[in-house]
Formats: sequence, structure tokens, C-alpha cells
Amino acid sequence: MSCRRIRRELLWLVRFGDFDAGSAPHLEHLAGCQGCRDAVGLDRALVRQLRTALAERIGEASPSPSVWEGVLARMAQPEPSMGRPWSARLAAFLRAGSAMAGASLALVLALNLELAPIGAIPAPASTDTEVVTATISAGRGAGLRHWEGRAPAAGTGLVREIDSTITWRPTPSEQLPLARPSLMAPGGEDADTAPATDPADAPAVGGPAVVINLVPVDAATMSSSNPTDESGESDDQPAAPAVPPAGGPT
Amino acid sequence: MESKQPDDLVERMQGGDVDAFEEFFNTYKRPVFATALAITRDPFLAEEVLQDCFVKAYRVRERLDPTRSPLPWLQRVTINLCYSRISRRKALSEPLTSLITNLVVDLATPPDQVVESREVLEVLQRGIDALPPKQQTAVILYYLHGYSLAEAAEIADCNVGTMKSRLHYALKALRIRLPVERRIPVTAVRQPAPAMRRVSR
Repeated sequence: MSCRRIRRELLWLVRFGDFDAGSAPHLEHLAGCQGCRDAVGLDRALVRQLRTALAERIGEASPSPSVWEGVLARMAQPEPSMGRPWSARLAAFLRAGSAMAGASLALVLALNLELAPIGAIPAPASTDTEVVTATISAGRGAGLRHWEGRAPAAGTGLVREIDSTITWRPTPSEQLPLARPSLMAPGGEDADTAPATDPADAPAVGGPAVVINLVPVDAATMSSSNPTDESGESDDQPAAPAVPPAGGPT
Repeated sequence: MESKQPDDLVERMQGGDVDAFEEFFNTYKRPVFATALAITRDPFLAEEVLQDCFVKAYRVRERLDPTRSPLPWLQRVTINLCYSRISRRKALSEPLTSLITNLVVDLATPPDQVVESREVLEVLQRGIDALPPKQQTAVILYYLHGYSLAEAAEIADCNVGTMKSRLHYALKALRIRLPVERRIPVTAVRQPAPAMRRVSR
């Protein structure tokens, strides 16, 4: 057994008086080891000083004679209520937290999903030339109506209007958070998605363009009710990955 | 444990006898106050804790076991009250004794006298204050009140092994603290070798 280990066990034995027949090797070692004797001696001195320090804390102090009157006075006071139980406080906390989280989520959705359908945005292969397209029927997308014509006036992005198609390439500062290339999900269906306009026509600067096809309500209803027609359209019309399904969020 | 109680004291108190409660108070107020004062180091705060402790004892007197000493329960309540009040106060008021610091210890003084010095006591006081509450409680119960390990463990609501462990780590923390504050040159301390007989295997 090493001296270090014996010393550690010796301190334990001395502190708590746990000597027994099994302590003989420790005592034998102690008799012949000056270092262990020093350690034990220092520990005993420490305990002695600790007792002195603790006794000094209380000294001769005793409670004042008026303490009993204080006890009677406190007994006369009504017992303080325990307040709301912890379960009720936890439930209130969770309710408040849920309400805040819900309001935050609603705010985020209201600000972002209106113009940038999350699930259908193609990830760009190249941030300079890739175009994000979006098609929406004129009879739907009430949220887009107020946006039509406003974004060009508010921003500096290029806007082209060809028949019922509006193409807007926003500058980086005009991009919605969900449409920024850095936030888009990589990979997926982008390779098969045809751009709405010729990328060469779009300016080199700025973010991905948004193309909005204004389609009459009836046509939109018909196309959504007939999947085969819809697939047929994709040959002639720009791919519309950003269009939410009929009845879905705009 | 100290402070022996008359056999029927708790029973009389449970019957609503205020005189019995006063006797109960006078029987146990000293050890309770000593514990509160040792933890808080503030006589006024210790008196508040003492009053709260006995008011609580009166309010729950129906639950006290007349066949057992109420002192462990009183001590446990006192300890809990002390630490809840200390945490509310954030910082303990500095006792007057702490003003007597910066007493320069001559390192040429023999080590045993260094150990006995005033300054070492102050270092120890600060070391006790810095101990975690459970270790501080263990030290106060075992080394100040002189409770046995089993009694201290009962008050602290732990087993004997845990109490030993807490005391061990408390002493270790205090021993480490001393050389950090340059009060005890540990390697220089030479205790006279105890006159021990060789124990043959």
C-alpha cells in the first residue's frame, strides 16, 4: 500500500475514530513515517482550530430575554398563506410561454409565408442567375394584390410586366428572408425547374426574381381540378413550384 | 443529544398548554440559537430564526412525536430557515471580529504558534463561511455541537457515510484554503511524533 493511500485512510480513521483490528498496518506505518505523522498532526491541529473558530462564532451569546415575547407575538399573527402551489405557477408560466410562442409564430408566418411559399422554392444552382418563380391566379392570392405594383415602387429591383406575368428581381435588401439563397434548402427539384424568364434577361445583380402569372379565377380552378392539364401546362408555362396547392396558404 | 426534555412536555404542548410551550422553548432555545448564530454570524438574525423555528414548532405540534426528542427536527428547521434567509440577504453582514484582520504573522514564529494565531482563526472563519451549506451544516453539527455522526446524520437527513464524506471534504477545503492565504506553511509544520507503540501484525 502506498504512503499516499495510507495517509488518506489514516486521516479518515483519526477523524472519525474508526480504528479497529484492520487498522494495525496503518498504525504501524504511522509509527515509522514522519510525513504521515506530520499530516495527521496537521489535521488534528486543523480540527482543534476549527472547533475554536466555531466556538468563537457563538461565544457566550444567548438569545435576549425578549425573544419569548417575540415568539408569542408571532404566534398571534395569522399564519401566512403558502401562496399558489408550484403546479399552478408552472401551469401559468407554460400558458404565458405558449401564448408568446404562438403569437411569435403567427407573426413570422404572416410576414413571410404570404410571399414566399416555403415548400416550393427551388434552391438555386447559382445565386447569380437562378430565378425563383411564382405563379398565382388573379382571383386568389388576396395577399398578393396589395403587393402588386408596390414592390417596384418601394424598391429598386427590376420589374417586367409581360401580359399577365410580372417578373420582379429584388435587390438583396428587398429579398424576403425565406427567399434568400443562403436560407434556401439545397438540392431537390431545382434541376428540373425551368426558369420563368430567360436568365440572360435578368440583371446580374440582385436576388432571385419572382414571376407572378396572373390567371383568371376560372382558369385557375379548372387547372387545379385537372391534374393532367396542370402537368400539360408545365411544358408551355413556367414551372410553378412556388404555387401553393388550391386552398393552401397564400 | 443535549437538552433533555420532560417526558410529557410535547404531549402537554399538544394539548394547548402555553406554559408547556414556554418550557419547551426554554429547554431547546440554546442549541437552536447556537446553530442559527453559527450559520448566520448575526445575533439579530439568529434570534429571528429562533422565533420562526419555535412558532413553526407550535403550529405543527400535533405532528411532533412525544416519544422522541424534538431537537433533531428543531435543528433541521433552524438550518433550513438560516439558509433561506441567507440566500435572501445575498451577503452576510460582516461581523465585528472580521475587522481584526491583517495581523501580520511573523513567519519566523514556530509553526504551532502560527496555527494557534488569531489570523488563522480568521482564515478558518472565512473558510467556514465559504463552505457549501451541507458541509457547513456537517461541521457545525459535528464539531460545534458535538453530535455523534449518527445524530448529525439524522439532523442533516442523510446517512452516516454521507456525513463522514461531507466532513472529510469540508476539512479538505479548509486545509487547502489555509496555504492559499499564506497563513500556514504546510510543509514546515512539524508536529512532535506521537508516542505510539509499534503494533505488530
